[in-house]
Amino acid sequence: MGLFASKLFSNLFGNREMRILMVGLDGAGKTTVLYKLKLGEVITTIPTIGFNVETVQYKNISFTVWDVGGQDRIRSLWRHYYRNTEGVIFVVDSNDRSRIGEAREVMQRMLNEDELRNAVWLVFANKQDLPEAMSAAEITEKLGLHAIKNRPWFIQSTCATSGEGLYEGLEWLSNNLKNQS
Amino acid sequence: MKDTTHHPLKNKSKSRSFERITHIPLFTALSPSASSSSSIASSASPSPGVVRTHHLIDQIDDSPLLRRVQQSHPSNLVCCDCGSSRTVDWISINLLCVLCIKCSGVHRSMGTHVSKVRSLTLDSFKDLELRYLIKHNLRNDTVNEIYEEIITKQDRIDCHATDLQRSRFINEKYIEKKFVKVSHLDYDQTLKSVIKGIHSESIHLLQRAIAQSDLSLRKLSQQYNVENEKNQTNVKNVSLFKYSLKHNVKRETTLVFSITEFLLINDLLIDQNIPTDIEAQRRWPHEALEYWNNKLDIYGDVFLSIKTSTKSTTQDPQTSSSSSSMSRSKSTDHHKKRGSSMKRWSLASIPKAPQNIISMHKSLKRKKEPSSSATANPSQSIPPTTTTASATASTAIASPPSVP
Repeated sequence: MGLFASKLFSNLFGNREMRILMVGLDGAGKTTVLYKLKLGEVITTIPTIGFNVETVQYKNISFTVWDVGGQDRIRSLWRHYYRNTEGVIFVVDSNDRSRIGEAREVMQRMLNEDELRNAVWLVFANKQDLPEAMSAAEITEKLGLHAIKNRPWFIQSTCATSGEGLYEGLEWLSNNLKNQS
Repeated sequence: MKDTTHHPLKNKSKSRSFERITHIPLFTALSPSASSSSSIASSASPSPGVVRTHHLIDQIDDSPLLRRVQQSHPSNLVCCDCGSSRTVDWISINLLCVLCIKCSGVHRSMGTHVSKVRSLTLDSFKDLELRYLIKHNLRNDTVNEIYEEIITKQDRIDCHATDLQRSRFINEKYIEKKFVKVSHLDYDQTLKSVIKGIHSESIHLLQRAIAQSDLSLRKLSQQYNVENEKNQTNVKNVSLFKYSLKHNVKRETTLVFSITEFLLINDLLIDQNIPTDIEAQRRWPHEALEYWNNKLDIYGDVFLSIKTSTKSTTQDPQTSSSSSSMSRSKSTDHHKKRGSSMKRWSLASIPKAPQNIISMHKSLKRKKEPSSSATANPSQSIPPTTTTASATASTAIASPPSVP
């Protein structure tokens, strides 16, 4: 009831909040995506050990984006961020063909998490500027996205360094938030 | 305090970045779960038809990897690029050097076709060959011998370099190859050095060949395959992949394919057609087929829809049948005998190599029976099921779904 009231209240004022969890293998470009959205510029990142969190305003929605480190042994920490997550952004390095299978395994495991059952699913096919990057269609197939039946999902080609595709992703998230409420 | 400068946003009071503050308690608090996470990861890692059991055995001694790297050579105690001695626990698995966290960030920004970065402490290395490479071939001094051969003092950076200086230097070093003495080698020259490297089983020679070349190993093997395809004679040349598979390391009871692993990590194309008939399989040690099968899962569909379509239709039954016959052939010592007889190849069995390479490597030639050239060339026995480029336009993948 309280949640409903607060949602109604924020709706009246036209401002909404959405909690987003951004995950993916190490080096996929999550932190670069986050700070490109937040600051509009490309920063020199170092591997994330722990997490970064920023709020990003887009249209009337305030996205709280959690960016968590993707190294193999710290992926088990992702689950601590699952609760109340309304949307997941899964970032993929489109240039790294040898690890797309690993990305698939990791993503499929997350899709089975009970705490994430209501989260909408956005995939960023990142690093599209690099040579021989896989297309969004190819990544769709390799990640097995078509098998997702229980939730809205979307794949967006992105290039975090130029910012291409990032806001299109947020646009999709904002539309799906509306659909859910 | 210097540590906080890592973070680009430390001065922005508005930003809510807790990375530096929280990572230590978070990680230590949950470190007991690291072991469970690695077990999850191992069960979820690409599960090929055959599991190489020694991988699991090898996995147990996970923690000393960092120490092992540090002990293998003094140059591994400092960052390969900036010489920093702090947080030097990041590695590039294709360049085979150790880095500090700041330089590792720049390496990641260049793309995985230039450098593939992993953490010695936060990543788990389950693969036998990769662990072998890290333990035996990861040395900063050999990398710098190649990539900083003609460097001057003012070109160098130190651990106090700014982000911009660091980024510029690392790009010059590995992308422009500005400090490599001999560079821009063409196809023929590169092929020659790669073959020489494989033949002499020298990771160092291969590192040098890659650094000196204008082509990536992917381009090299692509062109090699195209030229091979054009070859009208009956005897097809053996692929670089298969050639490297022959040059394995015998270690206790098992064979380690570290040369092949190094080449694959550096984007060499894998052979799609693993031998399927029993006769052809007998020409290979069973470890080689297992390894090949495993790697096919990871690198198998590197080439877009051409291979993905053939893999899903024809390859799957092939691999499953091959794995079952593999386990059967394991115990036959007839097979073992064959395997050992083909342990080494002569360069004469690679006819496509530039002609002078054969004379060049006379000194490297191993003695062998005159008839063995026929048997030693497994490519002959491979059924010519060349999955030609006819399947190119098989992109029947649906476009991304529209918003519901």
